[in-house]
Amino acid sequence: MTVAVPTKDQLLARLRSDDDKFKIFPTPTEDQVGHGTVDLRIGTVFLSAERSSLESVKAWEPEEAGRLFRETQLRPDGSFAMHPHQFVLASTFEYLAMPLDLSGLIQSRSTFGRMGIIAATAAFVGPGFKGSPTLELVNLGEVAIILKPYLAICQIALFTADEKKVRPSRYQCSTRPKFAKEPT
Amino acid sequence: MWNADQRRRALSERLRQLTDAVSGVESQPEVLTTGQKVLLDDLDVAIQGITTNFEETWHDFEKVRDLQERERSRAELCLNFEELVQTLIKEIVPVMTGASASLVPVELEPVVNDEVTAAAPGRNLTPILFSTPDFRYAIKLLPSSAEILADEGAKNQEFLSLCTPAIGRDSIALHAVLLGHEMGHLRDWQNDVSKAFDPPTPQKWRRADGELDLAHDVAFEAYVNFVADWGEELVSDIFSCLRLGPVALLAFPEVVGATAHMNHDSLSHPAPDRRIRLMAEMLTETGFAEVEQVGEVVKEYAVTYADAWQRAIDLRDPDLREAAQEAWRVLRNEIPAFKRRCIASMPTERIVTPDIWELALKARNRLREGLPCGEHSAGHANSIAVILNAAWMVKIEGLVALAEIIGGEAATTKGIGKVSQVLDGLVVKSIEIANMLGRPV
Repeated sequence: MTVAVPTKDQLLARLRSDDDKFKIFPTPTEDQVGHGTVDLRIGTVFLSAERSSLESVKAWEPEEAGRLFRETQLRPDGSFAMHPHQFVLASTFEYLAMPLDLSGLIQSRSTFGRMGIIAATAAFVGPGFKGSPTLELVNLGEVAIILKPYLAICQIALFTADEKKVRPSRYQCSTRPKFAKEPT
Repeated sequence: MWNADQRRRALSERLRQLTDAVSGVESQPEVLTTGQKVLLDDLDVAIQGITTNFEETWHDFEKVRDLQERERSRAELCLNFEELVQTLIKEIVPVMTGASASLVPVELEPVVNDEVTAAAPGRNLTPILFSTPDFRYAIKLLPSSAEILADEGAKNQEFLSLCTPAIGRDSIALHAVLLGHEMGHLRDWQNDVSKAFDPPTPQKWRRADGELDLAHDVAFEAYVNFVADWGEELVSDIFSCLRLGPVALLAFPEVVGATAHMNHDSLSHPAPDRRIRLMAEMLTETGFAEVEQVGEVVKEYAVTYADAWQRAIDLRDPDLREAAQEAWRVLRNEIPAFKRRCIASMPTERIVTPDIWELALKARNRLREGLPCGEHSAGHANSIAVILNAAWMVKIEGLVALAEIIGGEAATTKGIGKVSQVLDGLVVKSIEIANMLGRPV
């Protein structure tokens, strides 16, 4: 199968069709959609690591590491300061519903990347996934950066896929950032 | 000894603790709502006013030459101010400290603000959602600094606290009760619907000249109180049905079932089954007994609880049963008038009709598929009534479709709990999306 990148017009048409399984909520405006990409905004919940009495965390027991993280829920007009070298989990405000013929990678938008905020890993969004993907954000800069809910901080780059059946993700239908579950 | 000096010291300590509590909350401005900020500013004014007034009056009593008289006056002064500080500690501090964004359903705040403005137009009323560790939900007007300090010249600021259980932050059932029934109380207070009913003196407690026989004055007073309190609850239930439609009824047994027996009356509320009967009747009259899927449930409730109004009062305190029975008798007859007054006092665009059902069914389909339903078509938001009714339809179906989507199951207690949590999350996300797009009334 040849992997292709959908055009802006194709994406807009699919997102606005009632019958298409590809959906993003709220429906992106024309400005949010690019060639093969859709800009996504950050949500209102952040999970940030706290200093604790845990000496270390075993990589094979991620749920234990979750104990290090504290949830901060912002109000829509609130803000969150990301300190230098801080690692936080957040999620997109947009809720994605991927069809079987598309998959995507979430990456930081260049404007934020140049300020030092990057999505630490390019999160893979598989065919059939539904939910607000969790973002792993790091501030690589030397100064704190203030984030506000609904900033278009990242984008999903889309490419064609050819999946035959939905295999629900362990994070299917999540609406808030989730800490890692035990690897399967 | 507990003299004026000791009282003054204790009062100073409490004021200090109060100031520290305020500072603690103010130090986290990122999680404060606008309402909370206004309340904190107002509380600062109250604390400063209390401190200054107290200090000035304390020193004024220096002029009293009689030492005993001075001591008595100062003790009385302390007592008065202790009451004020108690009011602040009891009523305002929990609201302040329980309103952190992680404890309350912040996504509901814009909806609550909108509902309060619509229910009480022209009033400078600031709503504040706060959570409590116990399973309690209530609405209450809070005293402002102007009221506390009896300052008639101060600006006319009012606060409305809305308490929700912390455990139910994302609970659809609680959202429905908060936006329907609790907001119904505000509509009732604003429009004097229940208050307008002046209960007649029961025949059996009258003298030959028609006046109250004083031998029954205690029972009569209890009767008047029951009419006032139960009347408020019934009127709020009517408003809830008018504002939200079927979900007002469907969510009710779930919320009340956690704390009360279905057929037990209480001092403040008529038994839940009587209220279910009222809501089923109200929804039938407004056409919701005919809507797809939920109509049958409304009819079922109406049939199951058809006799709830005829049933004798079941009150724990036997001394009050007669008064409560009389209250119920007159209230039952007043219900048609309550309904008329509720409808007349509510703007037509705020009354939900079966016309929303097409959108509600479409929204239900979205939720079933594991999708949020805040938007019914590109860029167009659903109303809160559409979202909550849609969610309840998914619950009525037993969550099976949604369970399949998330790769879970809805056959075991644990499985149901997990799927319900996903549904709650989808509904909260739907409300957030609708808020952003400009939710219709």
